[in-house]
Amino acid sequence: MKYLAQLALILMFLIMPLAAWSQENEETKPVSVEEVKAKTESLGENVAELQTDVAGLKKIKVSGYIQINYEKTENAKGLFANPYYGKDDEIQSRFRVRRSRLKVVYDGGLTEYVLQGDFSNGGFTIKDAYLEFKEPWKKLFALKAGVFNRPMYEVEYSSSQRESMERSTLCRTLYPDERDLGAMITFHDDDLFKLQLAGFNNTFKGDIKQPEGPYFNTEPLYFMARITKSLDFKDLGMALDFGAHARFGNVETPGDRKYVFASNQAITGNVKKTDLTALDAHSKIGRNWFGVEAQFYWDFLGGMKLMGEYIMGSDLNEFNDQINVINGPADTTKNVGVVRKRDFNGFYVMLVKNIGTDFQVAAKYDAFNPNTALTSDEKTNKNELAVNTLGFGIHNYSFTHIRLSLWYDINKTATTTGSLNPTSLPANLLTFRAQVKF
Amino acid sequence: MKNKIIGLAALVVSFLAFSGFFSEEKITIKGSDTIVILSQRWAEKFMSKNGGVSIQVTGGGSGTGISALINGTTDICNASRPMKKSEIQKLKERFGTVGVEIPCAKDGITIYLNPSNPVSDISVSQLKQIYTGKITNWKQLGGKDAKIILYSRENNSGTYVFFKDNILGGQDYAPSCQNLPGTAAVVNAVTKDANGIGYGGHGYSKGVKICKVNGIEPNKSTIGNGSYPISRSLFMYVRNRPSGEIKKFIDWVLSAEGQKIVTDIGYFPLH
Repeated sequence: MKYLAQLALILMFLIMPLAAWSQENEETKPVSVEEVKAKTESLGENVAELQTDVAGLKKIKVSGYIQINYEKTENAKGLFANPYYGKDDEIQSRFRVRRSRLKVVYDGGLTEYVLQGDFSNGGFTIKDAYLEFKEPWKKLFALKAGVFNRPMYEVEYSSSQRESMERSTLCRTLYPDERDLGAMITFHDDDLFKLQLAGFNNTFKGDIKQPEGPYFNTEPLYFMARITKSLDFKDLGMALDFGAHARFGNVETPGDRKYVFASNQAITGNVKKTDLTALDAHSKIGRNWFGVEAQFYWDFLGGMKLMGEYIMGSDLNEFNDQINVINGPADTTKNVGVVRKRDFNGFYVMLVKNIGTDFQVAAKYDAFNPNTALTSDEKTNKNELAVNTLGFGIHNYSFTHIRLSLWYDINKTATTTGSLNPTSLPANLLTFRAQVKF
Repeated sequence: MKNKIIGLAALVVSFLAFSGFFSEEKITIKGSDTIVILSQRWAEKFMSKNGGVSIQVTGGGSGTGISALINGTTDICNASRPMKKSEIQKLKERFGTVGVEIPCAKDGITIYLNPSNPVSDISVSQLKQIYTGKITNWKQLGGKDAKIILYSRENNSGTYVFFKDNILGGQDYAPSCQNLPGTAAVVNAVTKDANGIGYGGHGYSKGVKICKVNGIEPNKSTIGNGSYPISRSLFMYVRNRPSGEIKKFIDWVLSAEGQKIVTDIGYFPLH
């Protein structure tokens, strides 16, 4: 065994110089110009092929963001003690993955394919899945189809960019989950205006669980329109964007709903049948509203913006409670299902001020009155009480791709001397958020 | 409890706000590869005259520079094309401003040919047909019987966008067009390729043949009076109305001394 090892060592010493000589000989062997040319051409072809592959890959763009929240409230009823969340979980502080988005866009020039998913605590959900096609001649018209954001300023303003921690109560109530399944035609001429016309399926009803929200909708389609215009005053360092949007569409009530309560009727005790609108089974009732928006930008001491929207219209609630409807003086009362049709309005304004490139302070006030026809004292349902939120905070952008935010929301429900004594008061909320965006 | 929360909020706000005062001030410039040489020369000269000022210049293309301006990672963006409305919109959303556009020099997009190429004049409509793939052989332009090899910039380049919008009428480049990262790479490719054609800033045209366009050669006179068909302005963009050292630098760039460097590099002064 020992001899075998020695033999192998000797052979290795003999072979190594031979191999080196062979290599050296090969290196010094003259190479013809034709060979070099052929190799260069071959390399050129390879590079051209690679360029084609790389150009194809460059059409695929991947982006995303993750938001981690630490939330704390002083309300004994917990973080969800808000009538519009309908839960009284007694959690007073927590960490939460608010968003974990991954977006893949294939940009084919005139066509664009977008797929976006969310990988938050609740599991994977599809957020965007649409294609967009631009007409090739003037590129003024585009058609979008699939699941995408509904045309409203605050809906389309990405969470990763938005300065407040959440959208306004108004927006969350009217456009839960922001998106829906449908198709939209957009006309956009920078010198004129932008017009969006869309039809939606009402497929996605969102994750905000309103106990009396309009979940009974079986009407297949509703329509939206939004028009916006931008004005730049560059010499003054100012710009103004403004516009309006509307939502039109019916909902179909279930067969067991027999009457409609109008906005101005208090829902309490026995109600005369003659005061109500009788419904046929599967009646259609309008959910229509109209909104205006404006965003003002000013290059003032580092830049600032003031944004706001106001929406008013008519919405519906389905009541789980059975109401006593009296047919007449001689009739006995009987329990029937009812639908609440109510006029509402709401707005928000937000002021954002930049301090250098790294800091941004912001304040937002939003208000929502679900029923404008009754005063707070006349209201008999806590979900119809007006709510408002004052939020303020600071954002830091010192680190590339990262935004650190500290935000405080003061929530208030309208006070009432009437019979209504809401047990779930809205919770003031402190939020610290770390966001990574790429 | 409420006081504790407000106290905690005040503490963190103070910390975040105070930490901003310790950041080092220096001027960063990013963007157009067309302007990068010019911008570097400006920066060197300005720094030599103003001790203590640090200016860092990098290229990457106009699109890259504009993205950096929107993301807050550059103070000045160099661009060889105007900012698009969609880009201004992003700047508005992030910083609440519409940006300030400062024309800093003029340029004629120069058509580069290999010195051995007998062709010396191409019309604008022929350029469109060449780069959209309709004219494919030099013979069709009075040259030798050889395939035209197209070189272009990448799509993050302002020159790429300007050429597409103004010469190709918004049409797509021919699929055979090779997109190279930087004007220097385009010039280098055309220098080595007898059948190559490329385009880019006039300041880069060394070792290549400058082709006339519509019979007009790009020079101070033809670009100044606008008779050269592919003339354009070169821009600097800042987020806010400039102040401090940034204002000093921009004022100096626009001064006679700064504009002399424009001529030295091979571009054309504003006046």
